[in-house]
Amino acid sequence: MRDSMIGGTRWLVQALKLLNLLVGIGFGITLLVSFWEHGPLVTQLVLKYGAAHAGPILTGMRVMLAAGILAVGVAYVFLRLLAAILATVAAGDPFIAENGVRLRRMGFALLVYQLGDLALGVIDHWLDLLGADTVPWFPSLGGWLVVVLLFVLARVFAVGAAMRDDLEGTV
Amino acid sequence: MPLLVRLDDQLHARRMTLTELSDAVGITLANLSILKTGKAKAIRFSTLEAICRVLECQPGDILAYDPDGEAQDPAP
Repeated sequence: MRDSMIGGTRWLVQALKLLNLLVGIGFGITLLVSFWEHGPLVTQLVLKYGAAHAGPILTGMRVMLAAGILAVGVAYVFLRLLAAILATVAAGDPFIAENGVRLRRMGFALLVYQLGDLALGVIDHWLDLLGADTVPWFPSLGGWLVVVLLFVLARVFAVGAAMRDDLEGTV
Repeated sequence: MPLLVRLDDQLHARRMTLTELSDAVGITLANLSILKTGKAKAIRFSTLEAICRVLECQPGDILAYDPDGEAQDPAP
């Protein structure tokens, strides 16, 4: 793989980490504002959805924002691990046991993310039943496939690194 | 793993240096040194065959098993 490609990918991951942080700050501020401006927000929701649904919809919105902050945390862990793997590629020695551990952790991080996504799907459906304007939710099948792929790759790396370790001591 | 590598004895008996053996068998001096000092984790049949051919000996002349002996521990 060309060094420029690795360098570009490392730069992209750093940019995504920054973007992820900004999104997290955005979610946090919005969540805080939803408490500070509780009164006006409820008034607007009552006007739009009626008194019976305004409270549950506001709660649903806050839960989704909190889940968004959790997702940002998970994405940070994922990107940090990816950056560490890319650093080993740039250093010219990526086939090490540590990268197997990193891939497994990335698999778990994405698994948490996917489970959170399922929970969001349930909340989205619930808000939809209340008549709230929601973005249609679809399960991320690709995401689940990547979870499986990461766990398989983690095992491949672990076995490969052990084999290489054995070979290094072979005369 | 109490396996002993007696490459030094065989070299001494034939008044051969490790460098000469390295040239004769086509295995790097560094790798032969790892084998000689007992730091190798494994040995290829091809390596053993080459050493036996050059030193005109049997694998048993180079490797020995001593259950009571201190293991020549491979490097961690």
